[in-house]
Amino acid sequence: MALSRRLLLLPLLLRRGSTPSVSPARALSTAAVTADAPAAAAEEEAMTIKGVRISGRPLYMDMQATTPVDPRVLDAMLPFYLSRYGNPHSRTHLYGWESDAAVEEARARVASLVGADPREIFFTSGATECNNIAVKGVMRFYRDRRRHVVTTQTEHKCVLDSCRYLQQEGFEVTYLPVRPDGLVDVAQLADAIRPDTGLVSVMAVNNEIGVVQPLEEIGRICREKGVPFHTDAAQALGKIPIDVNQMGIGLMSLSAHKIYGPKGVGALYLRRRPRIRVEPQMSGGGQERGIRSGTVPTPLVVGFGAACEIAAKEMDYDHRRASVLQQRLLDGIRGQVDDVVINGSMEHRYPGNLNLSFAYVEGESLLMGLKEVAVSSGSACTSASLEPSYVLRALGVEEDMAHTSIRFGIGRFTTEEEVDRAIELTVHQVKKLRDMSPLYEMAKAGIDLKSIQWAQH
Amino acid sequence: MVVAPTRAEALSLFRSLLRTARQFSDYNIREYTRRRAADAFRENRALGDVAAVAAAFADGKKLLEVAKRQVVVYSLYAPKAKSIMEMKLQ
Amino acid sequence: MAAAAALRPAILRRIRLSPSPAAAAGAAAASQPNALARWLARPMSSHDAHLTRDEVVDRLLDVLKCHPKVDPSKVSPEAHFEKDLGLDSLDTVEVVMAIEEEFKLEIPDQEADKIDSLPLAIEYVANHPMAA
Repeated sequence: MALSRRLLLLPLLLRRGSTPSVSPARALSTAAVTADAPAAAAEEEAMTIKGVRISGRPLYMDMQATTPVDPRVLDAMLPFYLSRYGNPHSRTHLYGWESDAAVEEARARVASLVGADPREIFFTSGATECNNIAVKGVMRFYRDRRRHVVTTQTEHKCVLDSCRYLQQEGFEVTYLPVRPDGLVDVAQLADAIRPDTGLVSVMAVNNEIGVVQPLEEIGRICREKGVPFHTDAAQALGKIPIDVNQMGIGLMSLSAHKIYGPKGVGALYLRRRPRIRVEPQMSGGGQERGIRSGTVPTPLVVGFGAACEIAAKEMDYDHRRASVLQQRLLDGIRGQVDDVVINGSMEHRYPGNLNLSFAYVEGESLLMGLKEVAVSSGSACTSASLEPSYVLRALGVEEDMAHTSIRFGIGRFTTEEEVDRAIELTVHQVKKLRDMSPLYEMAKAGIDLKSIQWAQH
Repeated sequence: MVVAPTRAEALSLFRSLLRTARQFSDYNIREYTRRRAADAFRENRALGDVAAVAAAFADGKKLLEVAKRQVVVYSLYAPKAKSIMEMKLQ
Repeated sequence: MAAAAALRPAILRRIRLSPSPAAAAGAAAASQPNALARWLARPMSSHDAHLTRDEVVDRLLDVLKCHPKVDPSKVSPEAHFEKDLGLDSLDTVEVVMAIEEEFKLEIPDQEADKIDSLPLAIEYVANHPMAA
């Protein structure tokens, strides 16, 4: 398999190899015009980017990577970039007071979306920072008695990386496997908890495959065993109902830019009763009750608050629409090409995510051919490499199928016409690649591909 | 004292929202604003309670103001390249 | 109207670049928006002076037939939006908006409220001097 993949990739690599020869000239010309026309330079960049010429802006279906900012969010933010620029921590003048009031209003909006008390919400730079504070912060605070963490193999990189870091400090970590549908086995999770377990960290909605973990059950087990439950809810906030009390959540990581808010801001939920404490990961002025030092960015936080308020109002509407469009996309593709596999549970899934594998098609070639559709294969963090996604591997997806996966993201602003165009382009590309694929021909002729002996070299 | 909007006022707001939506330079925002307004007015037609109708009307008016401002902001930074969804339609 | 739209950027570009006599005339016109509009519209009115009534009817029928809630077989030049096509007041607003888009018009609220049938729509568009 490895050999065939490399052969398939050859034209791709060649194309990539040729880019450096044009890029210096482009870099120079860009530098020359940056001073007076930054927007124009960005335009030019967008049109021939990475050696690919694009005639128009691709239709965007990478909602798990990030979402566009909702105009209602931007409208709430702009005054804080214009006249209301005060530091919310300034105590001596109107500028500080009005910013502080806006920050507290936003805090209440975030809290209300997850059923929390505003005093349990701490603003950070995003979900990655929250995950770091939660995982490392809790374990370091309780390091004397608690030496063990339970998490899953399909967590976001920043949780897994924080756990590796803890292992280097002498903590122990259990990385639970997941079932083929991507869900964690709750009984197995309960068994993994030890008397010295200090944290259970399971993400709410997976970024790659969109499966929704049984939060309420996990929360109940953690409550019974007296272990704090942390969930990375960056992909869940505003998309599925979250209630920190009903779900027994002790700590939770949230992000604004996944719910049509600005990039660069997130929030950590930290339970007050029973109180969970963390060791801050950054030293400084003691803002955010000492949990996260650094000036709170008022415009971003206001945008986050607005995004949460809109999400609370629009959750049902958005969810209904995502479900309809997901079905349309799936039916449209499956109606025209065979051997399409859905990665992850369809039943326990956020409908704005559709992760599909197209057998006998090289995923990277498919992505390159789909330049008019902005989608990704695997998570954005790992898609730069040709390694198959570790999430799909954890599901037991075979390597060749993992290599052919594409993640389609459907969001608030996705239209029926975009879905139809995505179907049309995907089907066209898959058929084209399969027509060129000897593997597809062999499979259609009834040859079991697994029986083939590949020459070693 | 809450007063429900008259039928003409409601229709006029609906028309203004659709008109404003049409002016968004961004394909997705334009389509969403139009679709959301149309769906919201159909949903809210079932509202019987005067207070609920008045609240929905007030919300709609606020959103109209937001949309009017954002139409301007979007037009100021409209990318030169259009969405491929608009290009082949022409 | 489309030709005027295409002309406009070309003219504005020249105004900025070279203060030639022709451009100066344009610049004078530009300082009075109405004058410019009249000036740009002039060559157009000479060849496609006005839409014929038949053309208006055909295009209006198409607009109605394309509306998602309308059964195309029921569309006729005499159709009433509510009684014959089953449209409600919100649908009617959308239909009138679609008519505006088709003929590049902006129909004031008071006028738009009155248009509740195809005969009235035909009457309005056919008599509108700016319909294109």
